[in-house]
Amino acid sequence: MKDMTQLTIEGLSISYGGIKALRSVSLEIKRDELVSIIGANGAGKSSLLKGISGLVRCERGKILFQGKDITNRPPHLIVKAGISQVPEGRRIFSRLTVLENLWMGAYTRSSKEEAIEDMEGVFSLFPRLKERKDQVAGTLSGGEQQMLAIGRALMGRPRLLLLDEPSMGLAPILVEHIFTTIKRIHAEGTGILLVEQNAFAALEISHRTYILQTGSIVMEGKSKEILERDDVRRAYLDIR
Amino acid sequence: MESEYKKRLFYGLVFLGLILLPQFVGNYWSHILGDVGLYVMLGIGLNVVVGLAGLLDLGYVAFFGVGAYSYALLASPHFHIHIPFLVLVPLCILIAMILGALLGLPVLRMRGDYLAIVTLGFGEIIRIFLNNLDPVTNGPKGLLRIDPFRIFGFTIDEPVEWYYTILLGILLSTFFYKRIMDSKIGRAWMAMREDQTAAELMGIDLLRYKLLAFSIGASFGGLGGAIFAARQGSIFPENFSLIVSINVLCILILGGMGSIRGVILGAFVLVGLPELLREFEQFRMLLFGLLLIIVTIFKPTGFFRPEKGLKIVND
Repeated sequence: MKDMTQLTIEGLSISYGGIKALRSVSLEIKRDELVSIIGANGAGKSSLLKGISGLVRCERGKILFQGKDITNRPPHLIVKAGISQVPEGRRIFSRLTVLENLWMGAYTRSSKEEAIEDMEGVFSLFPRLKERKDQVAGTLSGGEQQMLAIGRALMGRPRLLLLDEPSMGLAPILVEHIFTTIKRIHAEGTGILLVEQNAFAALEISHRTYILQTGSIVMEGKSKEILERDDVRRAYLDIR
Repeated sequence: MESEYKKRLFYGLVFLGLILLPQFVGNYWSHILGDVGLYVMLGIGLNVVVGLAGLLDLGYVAFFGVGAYSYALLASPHFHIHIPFLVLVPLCILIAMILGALLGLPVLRMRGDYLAIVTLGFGEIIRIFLNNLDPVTNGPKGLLRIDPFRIFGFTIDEPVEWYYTILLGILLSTFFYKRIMDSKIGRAWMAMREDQTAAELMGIDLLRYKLLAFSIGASFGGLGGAIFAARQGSIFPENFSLIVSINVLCILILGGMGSIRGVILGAFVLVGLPELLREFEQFRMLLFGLLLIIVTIFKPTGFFRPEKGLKIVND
């Protein structure tokens, strides 16, 4: 690989029936970097992730993953290329058990032995899931469901993990737990793109942050520096 | 395992019972049981599409019809073609599968209600085609003197013989259904049924597995149709009306989606029961409707839960 860039997005635009959700967004993620995207409701954060994972059509622009053009490729090929997404609202298979959910995550894997190894990894990240492995996923608590959604995505052994609002609807203590785990996943060698409304938590764990506002990136920089800025603190962190 | 053994014994006894049954009930009931059996076969096929893959198909009769007409056209005096059934039946299945994939193509992007409406229309289109395509299908006059199954000089034409033929067809269908359900294809369908978007994010190719669902589901209909045509000896477009699709779907709803036992029970209730009720004459369908309402109220998800589709290691 010629450089250290894992994902490059150039001038990406997405619209839904004439309404622009994303206007010419460009960003990049370096190999094994933890990058977050923050912004208000409707800023286009989820659209960006869906554009990357192929769930929505990109109108203009280009997405390169490890040097290969993956723009508008079908979602299953993007998963195979090494990008897994933990979707907004988790979307676990609620009538299947925890174990079955995890196996679904390993769908693209050819080696069962490797998948079993990865499952051990998921269980060591989330011992809670191991305790509940035979439980029907719909009966898990919100936090456990989020753990399952993340674990399921990890079963595909992604090079890059896209997380859409993992803190949504969770109690503060669980948010902390999830974010600690995200850090650990990253430390074990997976690139992470985190989309969050919980700006403070996102800025705390990420290296760099992009701020998205009505479909455009309005600020970009080291998370630590952004965290210090008064204007950001006022606008996104509700701290005066 | 004790329970596994008991289960095997139970199914063995049921099977033995099914083999001996025609000896006790005679020709008339063997024929009715044959009807029930054909519906079981259709039920298994539709179960693939609706129960496993979660695609609501209201035009399933199309595949039954195409299987029947394929057989009838290629094994009757109509075109003076008489292909032996061992060759023709697989061909009928293949034709039904191709048609299934063709139906699948335009409806790939549709979900839920929209899919149901389009497939309903598709079923009707096929029936109207059969009705109006006179030069080929002989229109409403139907196709007559269709060859029965002949094997080594033995002709299958008695109701009891058909009963065994259909029983064999059901066994094959069940075997096939179970194998697919436990395969990687079955797993993909299961994910698709639960949540299409999540399935895509697991790396499952929705287009491919939807087409597979339609065409594999159609294969059972094609087989059922071929047997139906050969057994009846004559078929008409009216044999393949919307009500057949509805009945098969009712069987699934009654028995419980995704369950073979459910399909068998459902077919007995929906196809067999009206015959049992025959002595009530004109009240027969009324009584039947009442029974359906009662079942829907007290057993809204059907009699049986779906069999588990994921064979996985438990550790």
